[in-house]
Amino acid sequence: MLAQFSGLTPSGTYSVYAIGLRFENGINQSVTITGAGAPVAFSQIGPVFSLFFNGSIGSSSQTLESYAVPIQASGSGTISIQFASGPQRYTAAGVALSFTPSIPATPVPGSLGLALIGLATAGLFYFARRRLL
Amino acid sequence: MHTVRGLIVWFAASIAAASGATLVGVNFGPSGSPSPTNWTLMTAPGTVNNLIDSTGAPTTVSLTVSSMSPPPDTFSGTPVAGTIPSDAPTLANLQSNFSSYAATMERHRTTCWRNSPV
Repeated sequence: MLAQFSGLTPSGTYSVYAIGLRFENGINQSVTITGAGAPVAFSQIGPVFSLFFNGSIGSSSQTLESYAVPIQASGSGTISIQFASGPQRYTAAGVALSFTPSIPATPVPGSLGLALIGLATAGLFYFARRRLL
Repeated sequence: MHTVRGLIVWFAASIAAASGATLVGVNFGPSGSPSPTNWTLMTAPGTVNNLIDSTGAPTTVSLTVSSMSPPPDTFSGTPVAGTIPSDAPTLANLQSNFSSYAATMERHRTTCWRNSPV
């Protein structure tokens, strides 16, 4: 089964999620994600009634973003996700992507980023009020 | 006053940008299946245009799902809670799927050859 996103920003980088879930006999399938660069392939193998996000079984102690696979969209703005059956049926619970990479080039704690934005905004408010008064 | 109002809008946009990416999610399954908040349920292969994002806003993004014959079956069930990532809104409503054996091009070629009228 092929799921193709289109209408993406050409050559833009997206966090992509291929989600597997099976309700009998466990899951055993291969997934290939294709954008502009070399395809990214992985297997989803594990127990029944378990959610898989890209190459890993899900965990309630992690966030969805922690499973993100960064993929560059093609020049025509597409990203394709292929689910292929192995010894078992392929089972696709869903696909998702996010507009901005969830894995920044330089990791910055979210709270620190918010604090910096808050400080900058407070400063702008201060100068704006001084101009108005 | 316009300056202050503009700054408030800018501040809100900055917070939204800093607090995470906007997700476009599509889940597969039979009609009536639950979906995570602002995900789109597809009940059969086909195309959905202008998918909504995690805020509910329409986007320019489309999804086309295609499969080799026969079309995939749809199943529902409840995933093990320990395998559901801790997101808000919750992903616990990922409770269905598309499933089939017919996925590879080799199988497709075999199917086409077998069904050939020649």
